Amino acid sequence: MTALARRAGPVLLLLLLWQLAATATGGQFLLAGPAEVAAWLSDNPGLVGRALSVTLASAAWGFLAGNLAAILLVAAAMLWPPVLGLLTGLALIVFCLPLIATGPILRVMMGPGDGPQVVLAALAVYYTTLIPLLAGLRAVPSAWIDLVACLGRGHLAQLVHVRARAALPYLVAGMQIAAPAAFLGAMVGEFTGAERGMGVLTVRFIRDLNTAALWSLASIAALVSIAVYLGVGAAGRFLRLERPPVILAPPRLPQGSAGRRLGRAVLLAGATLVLWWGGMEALGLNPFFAKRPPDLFAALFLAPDAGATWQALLQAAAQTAVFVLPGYLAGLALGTGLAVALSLVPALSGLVTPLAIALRSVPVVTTAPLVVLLLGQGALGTIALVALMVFFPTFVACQHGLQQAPGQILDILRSHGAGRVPQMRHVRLPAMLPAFFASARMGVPAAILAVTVVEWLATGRGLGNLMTLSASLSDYTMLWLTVVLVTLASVLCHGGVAWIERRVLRLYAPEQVEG
Amino acid sequence: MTFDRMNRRDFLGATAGLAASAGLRAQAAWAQVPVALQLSWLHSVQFAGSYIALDRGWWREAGLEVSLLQGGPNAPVEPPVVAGNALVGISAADYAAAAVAQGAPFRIIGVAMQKNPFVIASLADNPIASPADLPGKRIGMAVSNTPVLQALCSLNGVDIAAVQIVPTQYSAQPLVAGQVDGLLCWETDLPVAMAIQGIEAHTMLMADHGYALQSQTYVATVDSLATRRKELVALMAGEARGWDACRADTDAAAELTVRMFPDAGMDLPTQQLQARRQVPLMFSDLTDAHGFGWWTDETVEENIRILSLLGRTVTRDLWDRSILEDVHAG
Amino acid sequence: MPDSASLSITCAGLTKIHDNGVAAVDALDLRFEAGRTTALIGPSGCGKSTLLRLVAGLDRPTTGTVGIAGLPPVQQARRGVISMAFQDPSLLPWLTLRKNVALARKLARQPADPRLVDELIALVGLEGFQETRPAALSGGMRQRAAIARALATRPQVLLLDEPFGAVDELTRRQLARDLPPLWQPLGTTTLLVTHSVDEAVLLADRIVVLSPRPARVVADLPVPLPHPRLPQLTETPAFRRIAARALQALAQGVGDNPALAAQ
Repeated sequence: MTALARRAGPVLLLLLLWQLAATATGGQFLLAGPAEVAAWLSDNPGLVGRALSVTLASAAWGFLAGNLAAILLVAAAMLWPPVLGLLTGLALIVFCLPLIATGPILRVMMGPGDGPQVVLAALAVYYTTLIPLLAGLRAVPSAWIDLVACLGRGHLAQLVHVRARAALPYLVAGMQIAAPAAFLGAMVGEFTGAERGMGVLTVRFIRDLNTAALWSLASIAALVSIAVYLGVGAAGRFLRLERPPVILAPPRLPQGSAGRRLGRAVLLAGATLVLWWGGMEALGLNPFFAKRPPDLFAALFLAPDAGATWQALLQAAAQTAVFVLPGYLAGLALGTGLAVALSLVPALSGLVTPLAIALRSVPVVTTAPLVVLLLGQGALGTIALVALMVFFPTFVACQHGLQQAPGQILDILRSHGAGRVPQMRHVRLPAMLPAFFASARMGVPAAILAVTVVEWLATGRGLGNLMTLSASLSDYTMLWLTVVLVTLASVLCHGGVAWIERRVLRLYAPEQVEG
Repeated sequence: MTFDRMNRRDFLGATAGLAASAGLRAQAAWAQVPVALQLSWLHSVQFAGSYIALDRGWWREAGLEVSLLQGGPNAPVEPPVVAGNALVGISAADYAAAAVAQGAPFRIIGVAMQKNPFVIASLADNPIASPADLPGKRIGMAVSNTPVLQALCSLNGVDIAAVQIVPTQYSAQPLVAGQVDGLLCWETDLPVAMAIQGIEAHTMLMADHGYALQSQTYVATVDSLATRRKELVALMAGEARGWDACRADTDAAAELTVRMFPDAGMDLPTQQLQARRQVPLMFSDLTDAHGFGWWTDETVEENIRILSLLGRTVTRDLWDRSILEDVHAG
Repeated sequence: MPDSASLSITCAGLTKIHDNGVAAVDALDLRFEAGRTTALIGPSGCGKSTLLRLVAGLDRPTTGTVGIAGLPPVQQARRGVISMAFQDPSLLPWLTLRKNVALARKLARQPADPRLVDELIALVGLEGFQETRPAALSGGMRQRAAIARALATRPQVLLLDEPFGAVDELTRRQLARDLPPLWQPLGTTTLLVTHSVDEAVLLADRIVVLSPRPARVVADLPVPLPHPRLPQLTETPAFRRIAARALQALAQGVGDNPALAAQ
């Protein structure tokens, strides 16, 4: 009974604050409180139920397909290790493709139906499964591998008897992070011309100025995401899976000489070009919208208006960078800060953690216009949304990392009478670093997704706007150029974070970098 | 020409031949030709004429199996037509011209919105009644629509530098909350939403002030015009008949729309009001004289002039009236 | 399937230089007779474990060769005749004790033999813990489980890398009495790496004393004591004499090394 009260208390408090905020902003068509949401939902249960089932089905298929793809890719890389670097590189590139641009392209390729929704959901999840899975498969003590080897068995036996099961907790942890993303992917997919679903209704209600309906959809989407997040976690506990030490391990790229690293980058770029160009030729995609690498090269270097193209691209990129950088850093700081604060004052955890999950779970496509409405068209709204997207994974990962502090070292500190703060500074923070960097890396594409969605749906600036504008004006060359630019920027920033990560971890957690 | 389209046409030819040789001409099911019409936005009475034609079986009688492909905020409209996934697409004259500039072999074969639906919406206590009221006002719009306002200003001798453009998302909320004095939007969407919420807006129709750009135009490829005339005529005939029926009873058209798409989240009063506001934009003396979708050389000249204000250079070849001539001759 | 023929092990000019440039084993010539137990003792980090890994085929020599009955270790490993117990018991945490032990047979592609598995578990003193997971066992118990796993394939070549490090003194003596009779009838060739001179004398037929890195043979001592060797044997003069000679060789090996002497 008291346990129930302790859990219900924070939720009730949140509902109360929400209702107060809604009442205070009444008449502005900004915010509908829980009372209005409940009323609207009870009036339209069938409509919401059908839309939810459609979107959930797309998200579920995408979740399944994305995770399956991740598992197969990883299994292939385990059985044939030389392709590992290339596979993870390609996987990162595909993950960094901006959903806003891939959506319409998928729609043209796949025609009417659920195709784009499912594919976008799959694209949104597979990387957050792939990386933990890879970490799990490789986080196996070398003695286990020796055991298999001295009994005369190879990669396959390693995979079947040792690595697969050892990676299971990592797989579940990755799926837990991925689940809300699948829902988001399915909703963005619906914007490309789906007949029904939560995304379709969202667009409708924004235009109809139907605030109660809009917040009802956002609430439902948040509840579903929270339920899935908690559900996957519960499944892990039910299977009695141990929690993995670091969910998103750093990429253990072989160092090698500068020449070899350059060689790998060239190989990756070459493979990307071959897949892009060859894929389009193989599928016979119409060159009106499916631009090939030479088209883009011509637009950038040969066309008479190349200068204007460069200017448009760089101007949009600059507008985007101004928002995405502060938002990204704010999200990292907020996530880390909150995790540290909760570790110092554990009593707050019961209140803050559900709020954090709720905030993160509301799909950005529903919240983007609302947050910008609330915080204005200026920098604040955009930065806040980017921060929101980065904040939650950072918070979860850092909280987890803080718990990884070696107990024996903490005992030594305690035996010297050190309090919480010195313990934090000397032991817990260094122990948290690998998790922090892992989420900082994964936060790069998430931040870019958030900023382009806000630019598209709300502020009408930057690369997100350039993408939708070029699509509506049939300027597919420009659309593909922005895709390349956004992807390249994501991959490079990801690489930059990984570079810093390796240097810092070499100092604080050498066991994470070696091998 | 894509591989996909080649295949489909060969397949259709083959089945038609098979049907004829087997003496199955009477069985309409065999003769149905599947064609797709790519809509430019989510389902609503904006496309009610198509729903009526579909619902009453007029296309089926003409041997067409029509599927209506919904648009959306991130939906491609022109590419399915170029790629042959859709026979006809609905795209405004400026977007069609932009696609042509990018190499799309498009022709405009019909004009649904005779009057451009763009308005400047304002609140009744601070109305913007004519372009002369614009200077000093804050106008909310998608940044991408700036050329539209620019064209309006130059058509009416207003200095656009005196107008404060506020980038907003496409929602009435900034106007209702007083963040802007006016909104650049369609007569048939945001003002309707405001009216339904009990906020009466004043709308200044840009078409009444020289912005004569055709909207909701039907586009098809040159290739289709050469090889699929029969289907094009049948499709456009259904559209014309459907829209005439919609004009005759807008409430019934709205009811049909809501009934056909129960999952689309539409409400009847909104759709009824939208239909009532939309029909006057679609019919004129010209259409009364010549039929739905019509245009004349004068309107083409006017559109070429507006398009050049928007930075688009097009020739008269962009318009092809031959399909409509067949539709309204028969 | 292991055959009944015993396998001898020959190291010829065996050299292993690690990636960081450190020579762990340098031009070692050694032959381990078939069916005999040899203890390798030497100071920490002298390359004993590296030698064992080379014999198991887990590492490749920089130069020189290892032959098991004339074949490279990797080939013999594929036949499932090699078994190894590591310093770290490295049991799979998600498997019960019984399944951990049985896993070795599965990996070596041998038919399941539940009776043998249970016998071995009983022999290492873990009867009643068959269904327990490793996390619930003490360090010593886990090491004993690892020994049972190493024996479960009835190996022709048994490589034990400090297998009793975490086992308490009493149990260690008991195991020293009980384990050799298990592998002796199989004709198993056993290499035992250990720090403990007493353990070496108790278990082995021969003691090879190695110098600090890179490993070189300092002394090669036979252990002509009868089996089974009961714990009381450690008090006998014969035992103490061999142990004293081994200890002396160990000290001499350290003294010989200029690097260590300078320290």
